[in-house]
Amino acid sequence: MNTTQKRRAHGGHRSNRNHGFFAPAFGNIINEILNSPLNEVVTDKPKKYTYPQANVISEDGTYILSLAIPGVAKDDVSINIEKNKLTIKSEVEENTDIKYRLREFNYAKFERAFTLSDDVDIDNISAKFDNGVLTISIPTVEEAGPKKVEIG
Amino acid sequence: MNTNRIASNPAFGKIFDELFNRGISDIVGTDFTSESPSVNIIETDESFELEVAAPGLTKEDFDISIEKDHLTISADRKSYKGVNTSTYKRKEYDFKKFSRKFRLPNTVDKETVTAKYNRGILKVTVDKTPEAKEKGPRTINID
Repeated sequence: MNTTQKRRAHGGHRSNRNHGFFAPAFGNIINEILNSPLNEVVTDKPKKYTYPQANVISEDGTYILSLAIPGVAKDDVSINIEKNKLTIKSEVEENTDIKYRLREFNYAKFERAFTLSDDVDIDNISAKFDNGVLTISIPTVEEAGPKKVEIG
Repeated sequence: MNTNRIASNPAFGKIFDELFNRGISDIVGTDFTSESPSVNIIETDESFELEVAAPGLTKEDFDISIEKDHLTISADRKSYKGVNTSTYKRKEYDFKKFSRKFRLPNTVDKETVTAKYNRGILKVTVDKTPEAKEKGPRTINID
């Protein structure tokens, strides 16, 4: 797909040890595999779609997920939370009359899912969409420390 | 359908294709950050349209220049304050500074380059020269 894209190894951001936004690395792999729709692999779709890229930062107890989906209209994106799975998707039928000389991206159809950690405050998740970046703010609730039981 | 089919079973061919044309990052997520935007080029009868997927910028961040027969699209987001890198839990893209260069065919009019930024896509339109514009179907009257 984006073979011409220059990619640079980026170190130093894998320090989500205890309760990261994502499940641990292995869990994340499984998650991504299970969430890539099977029909994408087995059906004979003529077009390829771009898998949208995501940045996540953690700021003052809030995770901010920024999904890069340039060209996508706000009304075409759906954000869904089921249990602890956050799914962002779009399904747009594209205009097949356009004659592409080069095609490196296509966000007409995509789906990307993330597993939320247990300390996420699901009721207060909010989203905005500017300049092709979908920004989802995911606050966390402060985890109660280990509970001490007094012997009466 | 491709005439040079490698696998006789289309289903198998498709899986093979998907597996090999997908970056591993599409499956497992990525530890790499892409810094150069993807580009689509559309050809119409009148023009070429370059779509640069550079989300999260503003139009002031871009610089488009033509030198001889090269069109250069670059961005430098100087105003961007940025976030402390340690706050990143995952960083898959960062388009604050990039440059991509395209060679223009000699069938285009370099004086009529226009651009606009919308929904994270910079669209640069380069008109074809009058000679290169494809003429529509024309009926010729018989006198």
